[in-house]
Amino acid sequence: MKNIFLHISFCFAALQAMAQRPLVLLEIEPKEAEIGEVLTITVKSNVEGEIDIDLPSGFVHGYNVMNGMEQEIDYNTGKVISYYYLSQTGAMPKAGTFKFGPAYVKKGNKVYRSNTVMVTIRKDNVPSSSGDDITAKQLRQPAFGVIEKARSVIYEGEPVVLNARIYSQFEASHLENYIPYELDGVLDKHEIGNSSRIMLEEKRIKNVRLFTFEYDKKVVFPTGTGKMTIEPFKLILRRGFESFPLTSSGTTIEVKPLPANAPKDFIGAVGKYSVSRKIQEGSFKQGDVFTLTVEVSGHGNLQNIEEPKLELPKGFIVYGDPVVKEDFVFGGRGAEGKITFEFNIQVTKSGSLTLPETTISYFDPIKEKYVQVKTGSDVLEFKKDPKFNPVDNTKAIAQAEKTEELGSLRMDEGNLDPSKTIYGSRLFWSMVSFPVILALLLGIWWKKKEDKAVVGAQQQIRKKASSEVQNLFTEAENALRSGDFTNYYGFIEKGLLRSLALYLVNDDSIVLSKSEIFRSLEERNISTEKTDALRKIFSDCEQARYGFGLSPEERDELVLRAKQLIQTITTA
Amino acid sequence: MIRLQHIALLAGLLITAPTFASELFDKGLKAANEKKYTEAAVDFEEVVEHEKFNVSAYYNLGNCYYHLRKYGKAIWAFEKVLKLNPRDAEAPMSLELCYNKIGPDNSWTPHTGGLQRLICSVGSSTWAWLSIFISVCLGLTVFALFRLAGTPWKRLLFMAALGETILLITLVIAASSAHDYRQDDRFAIVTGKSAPTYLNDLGEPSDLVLTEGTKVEVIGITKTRLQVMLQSGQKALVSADDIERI
Repeated sequence: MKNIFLHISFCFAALQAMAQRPLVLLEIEPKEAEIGEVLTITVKSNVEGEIDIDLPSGFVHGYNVMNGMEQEIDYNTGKVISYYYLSQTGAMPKAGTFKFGPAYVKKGNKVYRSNTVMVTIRKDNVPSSSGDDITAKQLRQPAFGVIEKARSVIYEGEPVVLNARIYSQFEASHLENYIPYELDGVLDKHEIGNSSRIMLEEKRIKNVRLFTFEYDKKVVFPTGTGKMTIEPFKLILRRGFESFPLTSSGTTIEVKPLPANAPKDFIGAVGKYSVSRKIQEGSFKQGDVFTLTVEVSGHGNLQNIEEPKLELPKGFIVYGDPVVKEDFVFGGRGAEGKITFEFNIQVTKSGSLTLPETTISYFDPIKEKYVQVKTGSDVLEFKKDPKFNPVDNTKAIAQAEKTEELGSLRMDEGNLDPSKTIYGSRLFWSMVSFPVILALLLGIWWKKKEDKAVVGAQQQIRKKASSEVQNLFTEAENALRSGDFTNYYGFIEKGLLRSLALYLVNDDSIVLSKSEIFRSLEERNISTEKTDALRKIFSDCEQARYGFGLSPEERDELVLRAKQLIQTITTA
Repeated sequence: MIRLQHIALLAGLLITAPTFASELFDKGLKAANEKKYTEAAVDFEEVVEHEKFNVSAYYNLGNCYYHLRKYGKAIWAFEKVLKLNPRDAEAPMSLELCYNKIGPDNSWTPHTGGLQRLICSVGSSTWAWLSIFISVCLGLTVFALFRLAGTPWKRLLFMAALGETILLITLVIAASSAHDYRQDDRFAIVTGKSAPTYLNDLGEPSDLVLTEGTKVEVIGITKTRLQVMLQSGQKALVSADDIERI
């Protein structure tokens, strides 16, 4: 009975331990802020339900509202836990310490509540313009703008809050075409506050009733020293359909250099900082690598600080670059939060070793001097490892560091001006097209020249052939005169065949049959009258040679008829 | 007289501009060597403002930003180096380092394909000169084709002319592509720690927040914002201040 009771008790206790307890967690970032600075409120719960948050009165809700679900594995139980979250932004319009929360998650009839968070809201870092710097000329204008600055003289690296302030004699409905103010040599500028929402105020300046609002509030970190000019901003202020373009007045900030002889452990920080460190828990032996986490927290130019320089005694080797984790927000005091540097340190000695304190120096612009802050020192025990070889280890470290290295600075100016490229220029297109066009023109010219030469040669041959044909007819006439009638008819027939061959196939040496000649003449649309006349001459010649012959008149005319016919056919 | 003054002023500016940038470059180098990275970054920023194609200034600027832990801006500067000189061997490694610093799971993905990178790395000038050379060859072939039209060479020459024409067109396209790559500023990097996105032009925020180093493609400009497309294909509206064009 006792055993059964013990078993049941154990199972119940185990179930209780393993069971997922309802969790509702309220988180607010940052916990210290300025009036108007954006606060992010997050409620995280493992219970799905309706989330409601108790917010202090006057809290201005922002636009950003996000909700969702994420899953995490509980490595103790191996269970997947779903977390539901709601995140929203907003700002407090007044200074003081305010209680945020609790947040409630309502599921069915059950309500789960969260923790509460206290948030301190400081007064705005930018003093609202008293109106002393506003001129009578500006007051006569329907609208004008000034650049407000938290301070006129700052130290190098120190943040300064700037904002555009717009005054108008009317209630503006909205603004447009805003061109922000510019400060030369500023790399870092961060918008702060809820500048997208315009909060119109009514003020009396030098007995003039004005409407005013601030816009484009930024924290900037000037670089370099000397007097820096802030170029004016421009915008168009609108009242319904009326528009009032305005250009603000400019202003200057004097940036003083930091005092010389900065301490060796100065990390470039300007503001107010503290340092703490944490050593990875556990027992280590010689050759082991442990993590030393140095946390620098505070406000100022936190985003630009360098890693703390570790002064380590013999036996400790820093392995590679530290892993940097940043957790800060930009506000009126610059970047506020913390940066952690995770150094991987290898110990090459054994026994009891002292890790000396880590120090950093920063410049405090209020005290106007360098301030050193430090952590405590730690004594660590390292067991001896006989397998550890310091020589191999050094090589391994060098190799590992080499792969992590960023390329060194480049000394030579490598100006790769694309205007130096020939592509796209007129010269390029000319040089690409010129050879082809030239080749085409030359080719055409060459072809024409060649054709002309061929035609000339052909004409020459034709002329020669033509004269030869003429000679045949002359010889026919000679034969007629000498009474050699057989040759007379032969020459006429030959003259006809050769001149027609010359006419039809451009070559008088080709012997065409009479039927070929008549077919070709028909194809060339030579009239039947002419072909009949040709047939008649051929038949007369044959009749004269092999038949009864012709009358002397007909015989004498035959050569003339032949010559005339050839002329009429070839000139047709 | 006034015109003469203007000419003298312009000439003066042209002569002094490189010297001024050169001095700034040296000043930036000195500051960076003294580990004054903020000062050095300002100087190199000014150098690249004057000499938009100074690849070394961009590289050093990226280096300074890296040391200042402004990884988004460092990524932008190293991407600029790669854009100006796609053959740069150090920039991809530096980009990898920057993405690793933002998050161990992050890695650099080039927005150009391998072939395009190869074409761009050769440079438009080289492609242009090759085009001119091929054009001369084509000219000679065409002329030979005219001269040897009635010979057995005709077919061979015709094939050669055809091949050269195709090659010439390809080379001109390559030159144009390499040239346009430099002019193309569609891609941008989120340089801040995060960049909110908006649902509309009125500034109504959306749930999507772009993280530092995110590469986006600018696909349009609205009245107050830029319309961008993420590598996943998702579209969003962002403020021009939150991104820097490559």
